[in-house]
Amino acid sequence: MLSIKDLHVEVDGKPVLKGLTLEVNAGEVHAIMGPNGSGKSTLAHVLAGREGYTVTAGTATYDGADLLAMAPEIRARKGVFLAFQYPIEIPGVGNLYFLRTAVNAVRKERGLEPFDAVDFLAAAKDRMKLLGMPAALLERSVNEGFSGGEKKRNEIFQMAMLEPRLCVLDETDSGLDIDALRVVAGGVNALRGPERAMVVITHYQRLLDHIVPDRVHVLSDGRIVESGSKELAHELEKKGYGWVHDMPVATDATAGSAPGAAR
Amino acid sequence: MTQATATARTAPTLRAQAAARLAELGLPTVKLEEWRFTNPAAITRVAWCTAEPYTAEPTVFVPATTAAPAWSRHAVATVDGRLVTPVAAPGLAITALPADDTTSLPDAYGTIAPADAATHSFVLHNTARATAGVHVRVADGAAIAAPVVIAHGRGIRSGEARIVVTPRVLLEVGAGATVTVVEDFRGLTSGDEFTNAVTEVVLAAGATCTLVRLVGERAQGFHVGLAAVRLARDARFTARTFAPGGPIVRDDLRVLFAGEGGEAHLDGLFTVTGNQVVDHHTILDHAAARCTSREYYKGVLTGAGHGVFNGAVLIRTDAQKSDSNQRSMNLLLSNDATIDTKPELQIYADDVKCGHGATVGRLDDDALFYLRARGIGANEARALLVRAFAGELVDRVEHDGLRAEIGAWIGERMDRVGTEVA
Repeated sequence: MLSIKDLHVEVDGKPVLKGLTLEVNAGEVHAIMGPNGSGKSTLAHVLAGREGYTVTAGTATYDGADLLAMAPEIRARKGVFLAFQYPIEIPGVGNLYFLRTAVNAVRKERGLEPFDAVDFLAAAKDRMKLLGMPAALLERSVNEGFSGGEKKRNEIFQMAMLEPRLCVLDETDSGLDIDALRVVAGGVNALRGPERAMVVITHYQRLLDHIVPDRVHVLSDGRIVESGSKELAHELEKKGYGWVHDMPVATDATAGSAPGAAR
Repeated sequence: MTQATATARTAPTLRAQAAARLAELGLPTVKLEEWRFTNPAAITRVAWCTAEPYTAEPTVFVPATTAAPAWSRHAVATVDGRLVTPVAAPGLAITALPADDTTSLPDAYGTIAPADAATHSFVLHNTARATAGVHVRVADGAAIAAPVVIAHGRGIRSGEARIVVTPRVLLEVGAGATVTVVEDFRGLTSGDEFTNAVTEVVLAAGATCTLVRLVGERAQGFHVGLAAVRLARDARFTARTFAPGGPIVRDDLRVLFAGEGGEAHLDGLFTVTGNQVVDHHTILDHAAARCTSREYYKGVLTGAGHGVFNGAVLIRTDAQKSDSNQRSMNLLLSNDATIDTKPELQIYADDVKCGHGATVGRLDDDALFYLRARGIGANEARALLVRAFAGELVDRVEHDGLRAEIGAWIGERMDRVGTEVA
């Protein structure tokens, strides 16, 4: 479904991804792990089509089509979804209206009738239950005044509503306590299926206890330096990122080069 | 003028006096500080036809949508500034201002708006021409629930393309009374007219009044409007001005706190595109103690549009415990659009709170990307964000029906602005 080959990406003239290759098939969940600054979020943003990232070499195809040539909204309509690490607050734009507009844009692309307000609300309430979200959040402006946990739930709720085929989850666990993590992971797991692929980007292994991946990749200095089964995540948890060859020296505590430093 | 005897204050007399004074002062020029952002020459150099006198009754032109909205039980129309049909309801009287040479105009008429200033000689221009305008009176203690709507329109005559229309309104709200008045100028956008409107508002002690002004978007012609408000003690005034743009839209809003404990909230929303100009000048005159004023103006600017917000606040020596705050927020959506936003604070009392702030920004790239990453097209995403920016001031309209109507009107405008940016 997603095929990334030798992808090189620069941000402000500085190389961040330096030859990343990744193959993700329908039905698979891939975890991308790596220390801060390894290029994880850049990968997420490039896949979603954010401006400010210059692809200098390589390709990324989605169902055989050139993903990088598509505008962000086209990618979304074709089934690519990015769960943001930092969801954006948009005062004055109602969550309900926003999401219905988005869902109907996607439905149109799929040749489906647009949801009317009643059908939409029914579908929304159904999926909010899944994520334990209070219905009142629909009445608010997009993410405005939401707690960190509410924002992350809202991302997965949107994912459930948009029914994407390729889900990219960027540090979805960051800022979540263990209870919220369970709920969010439960929501993600409910969306796993043979037609859907997921790329789960995370710094820590703990998310992968709840969303168990088929493959784990270690990203370091813009390249995938190690790939393996879910056991690789446990290995990383034990040893930290320091053991991975070609690793740059960790520059802060959260990067955790010492064993056990990864929290 | 207040010294004139009652018999001398007939319409013909005041009109003649104003015409004579106007001949001395002339219309404003760009050399005046008050007009330095907006050159009035485009207006003043045109030989406008006057709507007076009628040779035959004009065809009434008031758009049906604005003439009698379902949510208002008290709607009147003016044609070329003349009130069409009076209204009498419990606590409310809407009549034509007397135009004959024997009946005196109300005492307040011509005393609230600046009547003898070169900077505001458009007021003289209005006074010299206004005939049979609108007099709204709300009785002491009356609470008028549904908004009073004054829909200004023009007559259609053949062979009078460039016509000047001078709507005139005097609104007197009795002690403790409550009313919302909507002045709808959207009917005055049909052609190449020059609208020069004057609205005078007198609030007695404890009165509460909201004045909503809807200035139609126009492709040609000009709109100059001045609203002047005098608050007696503990009166509360709210202005909501919506101006989606035109070749020149100039709005002056003047509020005088004449008694203690007054409160004024001035909201304004404007848009400009192409070569449009919208120029807001406001003056909050704290002449009494313990008064509160809040200003919140928002502008959405595209094309080579030009917006002006000039917010003057005067805190006089005796106006202790004044509390004033002013905010001007502007969304610049093109490289060629410009905004002049200027606070003008003169503070002569020492125990006051006075704040002001202005922002000029673009659409938030992060928000735009977020919306697009959910499948919403770039144009629609921009329109959504512009709508959200503008919507804040629409949402503050208290009355449901009125808010819905303004929301639909402004929303449509914002959608076009959002698309235009692409």
